[in-house]
Amino acid sequence: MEQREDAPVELEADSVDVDAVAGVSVYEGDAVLTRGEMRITGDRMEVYTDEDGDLSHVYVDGTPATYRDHPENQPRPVHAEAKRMEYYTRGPERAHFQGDARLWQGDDQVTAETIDVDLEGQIMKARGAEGQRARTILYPTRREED
Amino acid sequence: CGWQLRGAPGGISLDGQVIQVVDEAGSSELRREVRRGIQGAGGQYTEGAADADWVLTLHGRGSSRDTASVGADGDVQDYRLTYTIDYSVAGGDGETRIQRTSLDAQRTFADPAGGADERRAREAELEEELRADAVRLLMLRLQALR
Amino acid sequence: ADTDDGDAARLDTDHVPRDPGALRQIQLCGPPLAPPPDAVDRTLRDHPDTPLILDAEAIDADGLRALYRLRGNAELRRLDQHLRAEAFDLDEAAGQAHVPGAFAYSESGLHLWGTAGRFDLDADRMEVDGAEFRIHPHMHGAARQLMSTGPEQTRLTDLRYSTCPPGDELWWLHAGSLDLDHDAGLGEARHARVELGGIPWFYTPYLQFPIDDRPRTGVLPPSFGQSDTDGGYFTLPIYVRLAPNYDLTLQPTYYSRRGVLLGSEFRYLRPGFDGELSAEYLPDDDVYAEQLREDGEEVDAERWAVDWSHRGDLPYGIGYELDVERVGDVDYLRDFSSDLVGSSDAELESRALAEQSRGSHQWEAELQHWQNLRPEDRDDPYRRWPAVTYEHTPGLLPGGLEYRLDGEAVRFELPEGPEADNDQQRPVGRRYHINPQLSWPLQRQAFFIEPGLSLHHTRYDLERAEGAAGDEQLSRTVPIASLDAGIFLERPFQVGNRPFLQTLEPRLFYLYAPYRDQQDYPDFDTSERGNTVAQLFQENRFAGVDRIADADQVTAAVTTRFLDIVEGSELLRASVGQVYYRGDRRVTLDTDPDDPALTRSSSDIFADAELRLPGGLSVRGEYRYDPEREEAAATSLAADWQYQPAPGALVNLGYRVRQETEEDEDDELVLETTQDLIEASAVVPIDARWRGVGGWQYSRLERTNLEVVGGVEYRQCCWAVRGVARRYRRGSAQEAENTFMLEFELTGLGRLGQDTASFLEDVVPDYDETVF
Repeated sequence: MEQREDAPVELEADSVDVDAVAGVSVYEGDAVLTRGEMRITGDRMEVYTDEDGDLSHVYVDGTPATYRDHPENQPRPVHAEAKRMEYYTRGPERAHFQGDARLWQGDDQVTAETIDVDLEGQIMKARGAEGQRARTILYPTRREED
Repeated sequence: CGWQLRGAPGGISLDGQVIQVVDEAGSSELRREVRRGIQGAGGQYTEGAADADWVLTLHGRGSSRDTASVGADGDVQDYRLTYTIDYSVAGGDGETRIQRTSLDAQRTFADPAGGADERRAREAELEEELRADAVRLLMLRLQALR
Repeated sequence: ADTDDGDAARLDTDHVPRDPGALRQIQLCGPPLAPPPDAVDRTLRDHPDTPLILDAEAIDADGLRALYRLRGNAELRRLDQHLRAEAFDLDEAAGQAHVPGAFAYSESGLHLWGTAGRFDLDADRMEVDGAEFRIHPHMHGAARQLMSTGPEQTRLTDLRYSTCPPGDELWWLHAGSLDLDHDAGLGEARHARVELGGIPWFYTPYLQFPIDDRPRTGVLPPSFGQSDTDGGYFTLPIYVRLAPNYDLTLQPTYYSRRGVLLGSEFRYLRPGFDGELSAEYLPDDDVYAEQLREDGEEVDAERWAVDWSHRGDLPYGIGYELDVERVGDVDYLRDFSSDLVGSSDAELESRALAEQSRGSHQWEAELQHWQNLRPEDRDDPYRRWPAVTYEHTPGLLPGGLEYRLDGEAVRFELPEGPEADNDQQRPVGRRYHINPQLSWPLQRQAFFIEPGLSLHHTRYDLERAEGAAGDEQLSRTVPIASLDAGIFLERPFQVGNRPFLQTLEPRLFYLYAPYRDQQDYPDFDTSERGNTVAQLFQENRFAGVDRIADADQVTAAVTTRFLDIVEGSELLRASVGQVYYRGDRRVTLDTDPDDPALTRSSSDIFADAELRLPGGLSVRGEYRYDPEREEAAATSLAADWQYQPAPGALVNLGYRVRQETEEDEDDELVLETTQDLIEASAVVPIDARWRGVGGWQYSRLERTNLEVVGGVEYRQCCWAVRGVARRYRRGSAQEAENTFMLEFELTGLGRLGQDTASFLEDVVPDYDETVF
């Protein structure tokens, strides 16, 4: 996680509207945020920074918004997507996916209305919505093979 | 008028094929009858394993007597003697051609006037006849295998 | 995206079985309570391509330790496994699901509900509290605890179990524990109590019963019955399994008139030996005591019977056998055997035998004794006390010669000793016989020739000779020369486009044996031969060695066969043969020496034929014609036809007639019918529940019914009632007897209908194939 802290954050989009006083900048049109192995994309991104200018949290809307990361202690990258996602760098580092959320790693996947991932503790919470339960599909023996 | 000596083409014959007989039944009379049966059917009898076209295994043999009919005086009138051969047939390559099965020949005979004393010799004689019948049926099965 | 496959007991319509038994089970019991265990290949559960699907309103996952907590309408699905509960936890690495609350679980072969459960998905094991289960095809019940201790073993504790349709249970089995071994198809219950219609019925500490349709004993049949002489009777068997290879069945039968008869059957199976001992004992038979008083005999009304058979192996390849069959009195079988066949034995054999074969040598030692059940009209059979037989059969010798030696030493003894046989002075003593044979068989496809030499040497060493002036030391040697030859002709022909083959096999047999005086030799076990063509080719005119016939004769015979080459079966065989004598015969067997038959130049003409048609029809006929008197000397015909009109239905028809020549009052030889028997039996399924069974044996000679049987079976899903009425004569002296037997079967706890079903198998051959 430490390397993550000091990895540079790169942002790009078709247009950006910076509000330095409120510490918010809004990126619109193919917005992409990368930070080391992590990569977030979306149509509209609200990026919030803390007092000393470091990334605090990001709100992303997309069709869908996507998230990708490759935690060092795991053999395969994690992917996720949802209509709307939130990413918080601290307290703990976590991500929140909302609306047709889907998260997958290798062949295992989770689909739900909302998915909350505590990236530090590797804890995931998936919640269904009215009449639509959350679902996890696993392939245990495949994972043992690789 | 169509009669020909057995072994001429068109009939059924083992055409000189070598038949190895594995005797697990332990009856010398049965072995002798099978040997004559094979020779009579145009095959070659052998007990060795060398390049046999067929392997006939005699798993067992047995004869059993049960009551066939009871007279008006309530005593047994007819007995039925059944001689059974338990066999299987495999090709030279060991591949099973006839699953282990059994074949029996039956004869009903009147209870001799002398009762048990005379029945023993009568049964021994009948068993010889039934053994010949059973072996002839066995040869027919082999010949039908081609 | 979660799909729901409806409630647990959904019918798998694509599992409708073809074989009639399973079809009938569905008609009676409804669809199976669970899909068949083999509906899915269980090994695919761990296959890489098989997903493990989890659904719930809330799923929390701990990625590091692969722990999942599912809350709210939680569901797990893996191939055929399907778990539904309010909530459960899954340790996916260890493959363990822990269900704290109520759940429903199903897999191929099983539906299960419980109040809590632990599932080990990898090892296919589970532990369930407060379980309710339904097992394929119709087993269901409830248990305080259910543990599956492996893919094929399940153990239930404090349970109740039934195979009746859920909600309509006529009987429940309550037990402290029940082990179901699906592989062996066996259920073993301990502290078992069977409850019938809510009423406790019987308790047994241990109970074993089949849980599939493999035939095996379980709870044995209580049966009720009534017969003219026995009065009412009731049998309640108790089946006790002592150890995997010992089981004991106690079968007390209460007879209203006779008293209590205790039957027992003990079976044992050990590596070196196995056997079955059944014994029956009735201390005081009132009906029999009355009969004895009428006949003026002193009253000992104890009745018993023993039937013990034991087989074993000893070192050096010696096999031994022990068969003891004895009854306390000659009327026992007639009074207590349940069917005509059982009550018809006139002699009971008891035998001890040891045999060993070493290469081409074979010997056998034997003690044999017969218990004569008809002392008033049959002589006691001789005891062979002991008898040793030896056989040396090296088979083919160099040069194509064939040699064999048979030897026998027998001590013939009378059961009650020489004095007691009411001065018939029957011979008693030892007989030694040795018979080396040498032949040179030339066997080819088209023909065979076999010249042979045989020597019969017999010596008697009698303790009591034949007749007052008889010698006690007798000996004779008879050399026999024979030449057997035959050719094989065949003619292929077609019926439709199916190839057949007809054979024609003429055969000649020359036999020479010098005359040796044997007129006053004893006759222990020798008799005339049967009326078949084949016996014309034996080297001795008599069956047995007490008489070795003189012979200078040629036998000629021809046999034809019709063979189905495709099936490899013989449809018809017919033979005819006759013996041409070159000299008179002088050796006889207790017929007067100047019997004209001995001087005739040719024998009767013998013919016999056998027909076996695929439709289940088989006919066998034997015909003996006397050219001198120009009429038949003996005939016999036996025809059997078995027909299966529909699944579960069976018809057997049989006809048996025999004529023999006998001397009438003024010694004229006349052909008389000695047997003229019609047999018919049938199993008729009336509908899925009712089934009729009938058997009928009628003797046209005495114009009387030998046995008439009528039976009906009413079958429900898990129980059946069978009633059988029978009318038969227990021996000529007594008039016909009516018996009725009622039997009750709890299907699924073992074929309770053992007795009636086994009895019906005697009446309707192949009955058991049509039973549910």
